[in-house]
Amino acid sequence: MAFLSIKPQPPNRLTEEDLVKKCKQGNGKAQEQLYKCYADRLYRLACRYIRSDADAEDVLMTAFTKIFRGLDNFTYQGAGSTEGWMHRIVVNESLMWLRRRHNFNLTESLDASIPEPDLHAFSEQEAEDVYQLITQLPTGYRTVFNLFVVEGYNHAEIAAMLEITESTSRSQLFKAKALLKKMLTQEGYHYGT
Amino acid sequence: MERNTEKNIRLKVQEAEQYPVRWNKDELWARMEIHRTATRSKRPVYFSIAATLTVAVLAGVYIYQQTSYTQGKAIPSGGINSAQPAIVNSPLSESKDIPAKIETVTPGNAITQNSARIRIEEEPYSSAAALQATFRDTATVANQETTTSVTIPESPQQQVVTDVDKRPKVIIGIIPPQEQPLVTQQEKNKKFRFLKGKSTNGESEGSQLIIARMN
Repeated sequence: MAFLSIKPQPPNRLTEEDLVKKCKQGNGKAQEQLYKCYADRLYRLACRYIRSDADAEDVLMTAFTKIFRGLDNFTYQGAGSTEGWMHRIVVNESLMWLRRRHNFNLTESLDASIPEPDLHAFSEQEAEDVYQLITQLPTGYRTVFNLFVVEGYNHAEIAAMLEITESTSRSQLFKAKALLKKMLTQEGYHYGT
Repeated sequence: MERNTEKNIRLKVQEAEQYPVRWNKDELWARMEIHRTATRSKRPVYFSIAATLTVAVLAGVYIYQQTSYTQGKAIPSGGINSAQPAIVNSPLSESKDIPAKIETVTPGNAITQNSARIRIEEEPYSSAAALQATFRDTATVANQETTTSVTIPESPQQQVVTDVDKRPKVIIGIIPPQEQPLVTQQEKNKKFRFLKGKSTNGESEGSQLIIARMN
């Protein structure tokens, strides 16, 4: 994955609502425009859950197929609602892909007396560094961390989504934070000092 | 404190995801287009296959019904029977049409009392008759050299069971009476004697068991 130095493209001439309307009417050009407008962000979102670029592309392709099929049931509710709806579809599709290939239950229990690692220094890093460090976490840690910290789900919801127990979810999150702290230290950021 | 940290991380991640990235964006769209086009193009094929199958099934049902109707209705009552008269299980009033080779042996009542005498007459099947039968009903008789017909009496009503195969034919016919009056044992004994040779008017009162066998 190579990053460009250019800034994000400006919004298209069509408004988000008009674009959705045309896509609902089956306009191929509008669908292509919708894809090109949101594909980059959704691709990076998929890559945050799925480490392999090729697998992320497959997941994104499946997600966009569902997006175009489900547009008839989508109701536009203001600016950003379309992206939020597409975001959820990509996350769900990524979780489905992961559930088929990864057993999230393979995590030993934690000692509850151990304090949870502080990620303050981690949150002060550059955005791209934060993103890259998250993608380097193991699958189980990365998934729970993404769902809890970035997406904002609680442990009960994560347990239901990944078909695990809440204690497993907590354990995965704890280990993810501990590993991020360790990675920051190894990278020379002197985390915790 | 913890909330702020998580919020900062969330914002950082969202910011990072806004950055443009070089990846196979156009290739992925091309793959999606191919997939969607293939899915769309399959629909008419599915519809045409479904329509063809439906038409074929309907045509088959129609032909089957027509064939069944023809088999049930179009064979004339005199078709096979005219070629082989012994099959005819005629009512009593038509008993005079029975060929001479079929012999009336005993009335129907006597059969139920286990006192009937059945006489089986065997005659070689005449080639001339077979040829004549072939001309009459080629479609039916052409593939059959012999025919076996059996009539089993179970009640005064007529019942005919016909079995056709290639074995030498055995033809059994029962001609029941139109109506069977209740008779006493004494009357039965009289009838038995009557059928043994004391009849003078030539008409029987009971059922007639007819058995004929042809090669």
